Amino acid sequence: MSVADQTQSMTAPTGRTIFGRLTLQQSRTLWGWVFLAPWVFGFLAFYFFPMIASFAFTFTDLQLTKPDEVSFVGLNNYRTLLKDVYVGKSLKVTLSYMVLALPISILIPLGLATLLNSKQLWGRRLFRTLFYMPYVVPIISVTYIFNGFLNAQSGWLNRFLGLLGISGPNWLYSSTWIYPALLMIGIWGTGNAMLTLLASMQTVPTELYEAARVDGAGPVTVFRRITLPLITPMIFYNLILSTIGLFRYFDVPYIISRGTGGPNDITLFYNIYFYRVAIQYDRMGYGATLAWLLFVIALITTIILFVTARKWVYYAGGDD
Amino acid sequence: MADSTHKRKLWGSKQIVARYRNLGLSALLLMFTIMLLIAYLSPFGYMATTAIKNKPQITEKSILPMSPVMYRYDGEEYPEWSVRTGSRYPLYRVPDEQGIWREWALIATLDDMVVFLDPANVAGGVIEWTGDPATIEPLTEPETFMYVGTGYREEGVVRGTPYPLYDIPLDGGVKRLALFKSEGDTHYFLDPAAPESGIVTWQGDLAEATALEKEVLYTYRGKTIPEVVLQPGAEYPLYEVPAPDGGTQRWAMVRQGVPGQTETYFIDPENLDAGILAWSEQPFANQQQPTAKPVKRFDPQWENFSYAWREVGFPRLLFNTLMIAILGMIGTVISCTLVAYAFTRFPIPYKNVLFMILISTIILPKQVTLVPTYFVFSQVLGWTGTWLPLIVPHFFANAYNVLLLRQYFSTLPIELDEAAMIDGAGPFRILRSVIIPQAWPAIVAVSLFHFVFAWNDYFEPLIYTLSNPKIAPLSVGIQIFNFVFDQQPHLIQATALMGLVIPVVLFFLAQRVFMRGVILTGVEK
Repeated sequence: MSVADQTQSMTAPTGRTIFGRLTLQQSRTLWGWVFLAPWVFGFLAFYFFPMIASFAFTFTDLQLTKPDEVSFVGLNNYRTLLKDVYVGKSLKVTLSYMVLALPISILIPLGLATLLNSKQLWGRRLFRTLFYMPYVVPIISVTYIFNGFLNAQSGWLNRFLGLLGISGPNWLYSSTWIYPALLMIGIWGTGNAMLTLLASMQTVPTELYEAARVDGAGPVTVFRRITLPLITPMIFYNLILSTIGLFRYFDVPYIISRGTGGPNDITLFYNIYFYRVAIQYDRMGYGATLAWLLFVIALITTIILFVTARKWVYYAGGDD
Repeated sequence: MADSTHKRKLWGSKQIVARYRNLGLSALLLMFTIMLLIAYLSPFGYMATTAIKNKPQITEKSILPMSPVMYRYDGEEYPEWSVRTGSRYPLYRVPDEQGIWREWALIATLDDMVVFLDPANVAGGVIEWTGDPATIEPLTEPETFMYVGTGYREEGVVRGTPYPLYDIPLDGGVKRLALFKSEGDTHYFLDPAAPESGIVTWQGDLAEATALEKEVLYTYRGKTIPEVVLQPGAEYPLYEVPAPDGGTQRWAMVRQGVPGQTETYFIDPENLDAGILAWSEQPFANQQQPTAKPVKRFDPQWENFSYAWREVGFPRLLFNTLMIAILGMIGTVISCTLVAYAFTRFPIPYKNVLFMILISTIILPKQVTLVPTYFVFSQVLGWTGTWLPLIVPHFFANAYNVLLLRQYFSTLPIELDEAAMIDGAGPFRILRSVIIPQAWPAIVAVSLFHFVFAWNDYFEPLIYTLSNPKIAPLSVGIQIFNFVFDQQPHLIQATALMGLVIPVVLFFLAQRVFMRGVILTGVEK
């Protein structure tokens, strides 16, 4: 990290400071804390203490509407957690969707980035903007658009399939086709991943490509041996972001199923169940327990990803 | 020498081939990308076209909102007569073409003809008779009275028997009586007006009395004839119908036939005198290639937007969303700038550890902190039903934007800071006069990110504003209409379109800054 070098050089010049009797180094440290204060306070107020409180809540039967009647219930919430069939169900939904969505969330932006990185393509900048654009569309509009687009009768997808002689399924109301439908909606949110991967591809030194061409490597080999290894840090970054996003997945299935998690609980994602328990049923103690379970699972997943990353993510110069 | 020219030629042609191959490859790649883009953005096409349709247009095949072009018939009712079921028509004795006398029902007497219907041959339709109306006479039958009382049995009155009616001169006047018995010149009557008032006896010759006669009526029970009656002011869809000369003519369809069963009827607006034209070629027998094509025009329903705008209450929702987005944006920009400044320019102990903690908050699922935060906001601070829970936390920096700004600040030359410091500028002054003026692109990017984030955020507004629709932003406010407009996809799409206009326009206006910001956030692993 180059930040350290910069701050070293800041200590050298002389100058007056508000914190008069302190050395320059000390006063600059103090100033640093002043500027850092919003985040320090925010971290404590919105992350650190809430997490501890949240953990404490897991041992209570707290209800928002009756905060005075809260009592210590020991490990009751954890016992409920083990017996609650919906926990397993919603975790299974979340994880199985994740297994489908994670590869897609990398492969599609990777494909798009490769396409838009091609020197032969005219109008790359325009395409880049247009492919990115759906990312800024509000999720509520996205959901409404796809609700109609995937409509079994009047939707464009099934009409198009009809032209090919295929009678399309009732995407949003079929337990088989709802995941593909959600994936399609998800693809609209891959603009960020596409853009960062594209930027990463453009940083690959051209000398490497030239050297490969001299050695007679074809485009596929060049992609596999040069481009792909060099952009693994960015792939990893997007993988982490996608994983986190999928652990938070709520909006689209909630709006589409109108909070029911239907059809047949197939879209009862963990967060929809969490919302139901904590907010709708006002079982905040148990809700906190559910949240902590998710946190632990997300943490373990992230750690696993980071550990395996050492095997396949390439770091130039071993920095960081 | 010959050898060298040969070589040069070969080299030249190779180059040309390569150039054309590259050109072809580019064209192919471009076409592929355009098709991919069309597929990728096609949901927008669905939204835009559906938003300007009405309900019938949605179920139609056409992508654009089309409506049939109608022809308004302003002529007289045509034909002037019609045969309707349940109507009664007088029967006449009429000579047909062969001079044979027939019993036909008279439908209408027109200027130049009399329209009849043959009850014995209804399927044959109406008969247009052009003979002299003076020569024909209606069929008649005696008018009768039927006694339904129980008296006069001895006098010979039979209950339920129709007795002919006569106008009898009686007591200096004329009385209408029903004859039930005659004995020579003595006639016995019942009074139909008061049958129980007794028997009326009258002496005289019946020839002096007037026997009452009435027309024989025919009650029609079939389908209305003709099948089509043109009403003034009625509107009929226009069709392109093949003309005998091989071209097409525009006819208005007055009645669509059942393929293979009944004919389709048109009128020719250019030549109304031709009357109703039957089309026997079954234009709709082949649905794929109908021989008669409806004439359509582009007919967008712009009023969908104003309707949805009013029903959804857009002004209020837009105001709420803008306030939440802009206030939060101010907080984010200020706090993240300060924090990024601290991380790039000041020697803070354990800075790298602190920075890792900041980054790790990205990974933290929101749900873990949600319950206590929600509890504190609503119970301790009493912020339920206000925008505060959606604004205040943004005044305390967030990892993504600090990451972006830190990345940008660290590329700014430190020498300028040092020069300002030597000139006696304090840390705030350096931030304001040195860092911020250089970092505008990053700051604008952060502002845009927050604006778009706040505009699109769903989960937290749902939790904090669902209880008070008055303060709800668009994302939550619109959602209610998913239920209300359930059966009106065009209104849902109009709402979706109006919801995305501002962020999308903003993105297009500032796309460079926006996308550069995204890349900058990503560059920092």
